[in-house]
Amino acid sequence: MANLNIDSVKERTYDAIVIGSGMSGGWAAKELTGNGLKTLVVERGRDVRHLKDYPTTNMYPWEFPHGGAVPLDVRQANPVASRCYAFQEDAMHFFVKDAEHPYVQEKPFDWIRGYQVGGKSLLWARQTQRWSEFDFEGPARDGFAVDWPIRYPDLAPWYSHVEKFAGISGNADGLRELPDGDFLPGYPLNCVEDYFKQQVKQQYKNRHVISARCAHLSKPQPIHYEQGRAQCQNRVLCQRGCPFGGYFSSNSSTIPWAQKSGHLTLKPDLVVQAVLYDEQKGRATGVRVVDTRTKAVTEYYARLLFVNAGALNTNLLLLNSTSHRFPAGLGNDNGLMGKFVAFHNYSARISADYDGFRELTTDGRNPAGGGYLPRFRNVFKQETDFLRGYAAGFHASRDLDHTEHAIGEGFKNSLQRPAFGPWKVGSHMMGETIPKETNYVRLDPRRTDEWGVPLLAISVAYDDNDAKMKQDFFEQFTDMYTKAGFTNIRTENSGQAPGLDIHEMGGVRMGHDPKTSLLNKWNQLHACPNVFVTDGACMTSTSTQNPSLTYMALTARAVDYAVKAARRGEV
Amino acid sequence: MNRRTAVKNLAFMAGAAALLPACSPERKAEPKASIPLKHLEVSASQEKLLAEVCETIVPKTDTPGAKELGVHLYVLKMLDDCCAKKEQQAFLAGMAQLEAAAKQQYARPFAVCSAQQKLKMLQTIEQQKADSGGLASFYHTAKRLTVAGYTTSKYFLTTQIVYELVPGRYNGYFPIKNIKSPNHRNGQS
Repeated sequence: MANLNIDSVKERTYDAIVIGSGMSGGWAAKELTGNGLKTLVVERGRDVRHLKDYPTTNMYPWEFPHGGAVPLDVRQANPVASRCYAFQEDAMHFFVKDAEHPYVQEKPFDWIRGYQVGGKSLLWARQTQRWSEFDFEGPARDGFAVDWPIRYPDLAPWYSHVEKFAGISGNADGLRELPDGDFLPGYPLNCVEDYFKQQVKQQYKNRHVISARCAHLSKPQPIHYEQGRAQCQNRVLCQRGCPFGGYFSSNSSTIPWAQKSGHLTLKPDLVVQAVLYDEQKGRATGVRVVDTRTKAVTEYYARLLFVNAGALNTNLLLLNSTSHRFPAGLGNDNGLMGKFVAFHNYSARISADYDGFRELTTDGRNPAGGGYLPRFRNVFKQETDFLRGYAAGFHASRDLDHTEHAIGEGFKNSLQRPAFGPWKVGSHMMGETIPKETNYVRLDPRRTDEWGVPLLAISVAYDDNDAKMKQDFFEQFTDMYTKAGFTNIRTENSGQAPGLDIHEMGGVRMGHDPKTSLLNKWNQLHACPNVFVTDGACMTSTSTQNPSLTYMALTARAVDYAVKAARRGEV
Repeated sequence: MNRRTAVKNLAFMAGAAALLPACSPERKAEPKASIPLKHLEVSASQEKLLAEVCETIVPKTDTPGAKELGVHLYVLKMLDDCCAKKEQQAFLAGMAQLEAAAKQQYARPFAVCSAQQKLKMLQTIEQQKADSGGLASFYHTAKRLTVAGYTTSKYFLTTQIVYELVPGRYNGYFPIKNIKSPNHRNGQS
């Protein structure tokens, strides 16, 4: 019996365990296995295999029972998920259904989740802009949150590392506020986007319109073919999963790569209840998981643990990992875990018409989505009555019109041969929000889910700084649009709750000081150094850039450190 | 039997059927719509009326019209699965109003009015705002779904404006004059 037990423990022991298989978990798996570590990835959702489990990927519009729309009963049963732009008939199977995974909204918060192998990396908008020196210096310069324990040069080589493997398309724009990377050729702007770029350049000194950088293979390199991926075919149906592997996802890239190494064990359908802590050894020893199909509870063990459950779920898991040593959650000596959560303010949009370039249109589709304006407010110095600023997209497309107020033969002809209307242009704000102690998540004291894990209670809201920033976005973009000769300018305050940006961050922030932060500059828990947190939970501040690329780079950097530290016997 | 009595009787029969489903299994109910519907009670004759409405909006010319493409069935399915109960009720009520108006104006059901008569009736409603209720709200919902059903039909997307699943290209400066075939969608989604 004793031997059997020892064998069983041995079978359940790995060099490293990664919790979560999404954007950052996939990278942890790839880097750990790449260093020869026997790695277990536990994923709470079902398996989604590249190519095999993309049921809608090659469907034509007429093959969808509702033309792509979500039936009313599904929308009514999923008020939160339904608010996400990508929750449509072609991809709704990749979203968490509201009723299956309840949470507590102490304040309105749309928590959009994708519980499956690959997580939300299947569904993301694929925008990949680097952070700059000004972003990492933000909290220290402007006196909020805590100082980041790293600076841009610490991360720059790791951005390059992940960019080359993932495949990021973009141009060398030479902007200090949005550093260039190791790019595949950028996607071109269209005539109106280029026109706006020129207009902005002429009218403003420090404002720039560039082609959005994105995780698409515009020109695959040998490393991408080696992953089994091919050139992006401009389908822009990415949320279904791509049959070409044209965009980066865990499913198309990091997970199969890790599998090929022979060092990966991927176990879907396992919810981690807690990270285990051994008081004698003074370190974390593994995880306790429950099988979502059988409800069987098992433990797995490893020397290194990477927590990549997704920003808020990582908070939930660590808060729920209590022990005699850590009664308030693993590594939570200062009581700050779950606090200083922040996000991106996506609640403002502006649109207009442009009467020029009547003779031109677009042909094909642009996976980058168009233009991107890096943050231009408060970059080099504080200059407004609000802190920080916003980035924005810029997109132009030609409208197709059919005859209005008509029916019959002429109307039918106008559907078959629509006339080209004016160009439509639009921008959306991506605002930095300030992490505050009052924006927090915590464990619900009473309710648990099906797997015995407390529900997460979320208390996150906008503040005055967000309102002022939004007003400035409307004013500045109205000004820029007006100067560019755009007409019929319309601003839209979407009124959406935080969360719908799907850029929730923080709660287990990095910092220099164990008294005011949870993680050190290597993403290790100050108080439990063999546990690394490299998903959105680690973020000290949010800046304005879409965060996934930064999570990837932080993960690769942390794994490199963890492996070296383990070899030195330090963790 | 005037319409009001008919509606009353219908309501009574529906109620009786609900209460006593086994009472008269051989009762000759009006034939149902040709596709299964989850929420809507639609009869074969209502389906026929709707088919004529859709056909009047997008008629057969040298290319198939809405009826031939089954667009009215798409309209029913979308109405059944994707629209709120209130909108469904307004739709059915408006459809009944259209039938009543046809009988009043032309002394026959809408479905057997001449193409000219159908067009004339719907053109009048076309000028009314969608939110003016009743007939207009039915009509504008029907038109919206007819346009969606027609322009996303396999026929339309393979012969009229060809949908490309795999464009494999992007050109942001494409001269409209270079669009060679009128069936060219320019890879737009």
